[in-house]
Amino acid sequence: MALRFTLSSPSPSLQPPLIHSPPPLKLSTLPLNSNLFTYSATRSLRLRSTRRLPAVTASVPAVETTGTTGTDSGKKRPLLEVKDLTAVITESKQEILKGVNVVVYEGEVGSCYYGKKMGLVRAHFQRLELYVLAGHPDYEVTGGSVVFKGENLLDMEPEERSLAGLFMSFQSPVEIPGVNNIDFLNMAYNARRRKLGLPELGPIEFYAYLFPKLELVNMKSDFLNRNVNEGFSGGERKRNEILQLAVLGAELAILDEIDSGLDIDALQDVAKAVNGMLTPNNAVLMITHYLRLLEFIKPTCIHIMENGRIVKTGDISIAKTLEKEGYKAISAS
Amino acid sequence: MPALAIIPQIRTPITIKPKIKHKQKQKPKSFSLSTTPITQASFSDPFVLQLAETLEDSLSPSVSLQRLRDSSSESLLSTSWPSRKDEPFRFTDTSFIRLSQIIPITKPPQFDYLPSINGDTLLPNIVIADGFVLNSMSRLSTLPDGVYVGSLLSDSSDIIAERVLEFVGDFEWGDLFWSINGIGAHDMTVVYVPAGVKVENPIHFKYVSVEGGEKGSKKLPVSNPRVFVVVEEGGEVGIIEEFVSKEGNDDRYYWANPVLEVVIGKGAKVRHSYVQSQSLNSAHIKWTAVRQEAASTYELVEVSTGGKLSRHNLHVQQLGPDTATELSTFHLSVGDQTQDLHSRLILDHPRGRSQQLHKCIVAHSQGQAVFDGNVKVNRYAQQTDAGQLTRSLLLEPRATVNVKPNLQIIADDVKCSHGAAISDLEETQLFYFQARGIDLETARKALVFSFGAEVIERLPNSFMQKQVESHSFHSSRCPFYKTTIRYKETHFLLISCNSSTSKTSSSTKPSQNLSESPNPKNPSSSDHLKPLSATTLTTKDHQAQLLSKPKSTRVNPTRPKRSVLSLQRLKRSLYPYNPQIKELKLFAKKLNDCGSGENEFVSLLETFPYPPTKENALLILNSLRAWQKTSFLQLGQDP
Repeated sequence: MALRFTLSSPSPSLQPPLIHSPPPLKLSTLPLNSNLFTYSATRSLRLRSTRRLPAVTASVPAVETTGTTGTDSGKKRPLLEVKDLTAVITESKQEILKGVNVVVYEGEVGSCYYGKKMGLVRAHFQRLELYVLAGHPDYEVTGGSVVFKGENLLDMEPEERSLAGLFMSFQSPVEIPGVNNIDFLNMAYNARRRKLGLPELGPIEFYAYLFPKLELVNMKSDFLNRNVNEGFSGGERKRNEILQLAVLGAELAILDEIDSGLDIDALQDVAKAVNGMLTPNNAVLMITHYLRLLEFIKPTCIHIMENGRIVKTGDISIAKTLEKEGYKAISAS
Repeated sequence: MPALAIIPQIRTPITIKPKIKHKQKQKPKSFSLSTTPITQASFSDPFVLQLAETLEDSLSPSVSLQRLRDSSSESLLSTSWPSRKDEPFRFTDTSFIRLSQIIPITKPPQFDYLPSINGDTLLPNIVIADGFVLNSMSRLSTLPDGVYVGSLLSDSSDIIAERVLEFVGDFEWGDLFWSINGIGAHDMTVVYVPAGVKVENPIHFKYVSVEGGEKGSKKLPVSNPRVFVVVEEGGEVGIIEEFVSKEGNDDRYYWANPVLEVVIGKGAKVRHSYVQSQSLNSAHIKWTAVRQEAASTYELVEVSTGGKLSRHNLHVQQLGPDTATELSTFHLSVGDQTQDLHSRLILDHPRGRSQQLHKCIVAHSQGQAVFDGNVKVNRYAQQTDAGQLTRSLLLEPRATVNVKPNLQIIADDVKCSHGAAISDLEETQLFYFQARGIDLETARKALVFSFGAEVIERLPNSFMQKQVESHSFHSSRCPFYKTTIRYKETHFLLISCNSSTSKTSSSTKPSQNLSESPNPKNPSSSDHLKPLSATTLTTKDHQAQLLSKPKSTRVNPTRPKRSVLSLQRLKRSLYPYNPQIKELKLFAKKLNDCGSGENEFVSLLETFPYPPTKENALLILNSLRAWQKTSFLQLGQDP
């Protein structure tokens, strides 16, 4: 079962040091109704990863289709609506998602947990949802609909989805030897600027824009000249993902296991950065196994996912129960 | 062959034959093929003989080169023109040269042709046009004392000549083209670096091919430049060889057949850069023979982009322990070109270190790249550390790459590795780009860029890197490359303020220091590759690419191997890549979703997104329900 946590943006005030007012620069670069959703609907879809994840608890602030869940005030608009999404792995036609219904509202931070029972399949689910949302060619949607900010997401190419404001961070980002980090970021950023009709930034201006973000994720500037993810440690890769999120800005950010492989300091940096990017218009969906990330980034609602569908949604109390008694307690209830 | 017919008759007096051989070897200096009976050779290729004769006739006699010419003639007698049945030429088709009318170039270009001077005038440079040294264009004033760069013929010092002649004619691994150069070279340019002298600025050899046959004529002018480099103990020198054709002659037909011999003394160091960007209709066959004494270092960086048939034969012989050899080559095939590297590294002494990296990109359906990397680690070469890696990128369907990495190891205490990978661009990487909002085209370009950058960055001279760039940029074959990446060199200056300081110096002036070890990291790799990507990815290629692109069958090495009987062995997509597939899928869905009314269906059909081609129609057909299919077909038959 997956627990989904949704954090609403008011709660950042409860958190430890991490409040940054959302950098105004960021808002200006975001599209008008940019809402940073963290949709950690990591249905454990096994994407080519050879890692087997034991109970992945993805925090998907998947908001339920019933809509209210009692966590948010009624005036928040839904940012992402997933209705009856079914999907299969393209090659083996194995069904992975079996009718997922999720709604993510603005200003939510959600987290998704996965139950223990599924083993490999569940690991798959997590990835799948992410990658289906991002448009990976290995996964094929067979039914249902995904509406993001009023647009049908499934019709768009992956790059269009990203430009529409959906950001997905990878759990194990791929290495791209030969392409500099700064070149890559510049390319992506300019692509986004073009979409918004803004003039593109040259390298110097881009660097000026980038520098404060580096501080946000606590990375040194020499890493910009290194090739993308080449030779990076786990923590560095995650921070690189967060940096990309900070640079590109997104309305809905899906963070896939952003805490795995990180030590305490790195985890705090990441959490700080994510919290700093939360605004009432954004949403974040996190997928995680462990509760400790949730101590730093407080979710508004938690979704538990099992067997390809969301089975329970609640708030942080579910997480506590989960912690104490394991998934059995939740699935029984 | 007529030669064969004659031989049996002459050979019947068998006892006499050995004597004839002896006499042959002690013949007087004016060795001439025409007076030699064909008895000597067991198999003489008449074409080769005729070629040798024409080359000889075109030469002026030279005392110093006579020995070379003699030994070359001898070997030519017994070498036939390579066919596809000979192992070294198994993948390389040399009929392009064979079927043309080969004309040796007899004199240097006379008209007042001035090859453009390099922008960087600090480098000592020599211009060799069609095999002849143009002293008027060369500038050698900035060389340290004792260093001699010039023609062997005009050399006054006997020491150098003696030294050189020790080695000349000694090479037993050469092939036909080596011997052709030996016979046909008018002159030999010598670079002599005395012991302990470190030459700061690399010596730039610019080989220009001026004469060329026009399209349609079968004439193929051949030039045979020959350079000999001797570096005595402890010396250091950089050699830059640049092969171009005369400006505006980018489509002429000619054959360049250069040879470079390098002798590296104990503890000496040679950095060799070789950039080839000749006409796309030319043949370019180069030999590089290197002899390394103990504790010496030889580094080669090669970038080959031109030539219809371009072959580099590289031979490195180790003559002492503790040597270091580093070979990096990059071949690019944008037209129907063949790029070939046949390298051989022979290690006979212990503790040698060698690294070989070969990268090639084939971006045309008739393009071909060949790699044969041989490393012989013989019995006494213990504790050798040898590595070899070849990576190829095939960007078009039917592009071909033949790789044959081979290690022949006899010693038993060595560390050797070799690897080969041939692929298209990696999907996961492309998806990563896409997931960040970068469209597929730009992602492909960036990845192609970065592929070649790894080798181009190793060019020790930033000026040469720009040269590679400017050639492709101004060449008429590449469209102007508009990119979403706009880079200026200055941005690295900015970064350097905050981090390391080494960058500022590199950006402000091209540093020529040979003695510093790491290459100054230059303006971004995308700058260098911009022109290359431009040549690689013309718009025309894109269209061809979009229409039919078979899905690559990549095997993930981290997954357990599939059993042979697995049904899922070949992952193939259901249908070939088709850019219209998204719309078609949507359309098919609409068709499926519409009610059971026929009229509704028919009206929907009108809204077929693209003019229905056979492929599209089949795709839609496959996804329809049964009754829909019949109506679909019926409608299709209507006029």
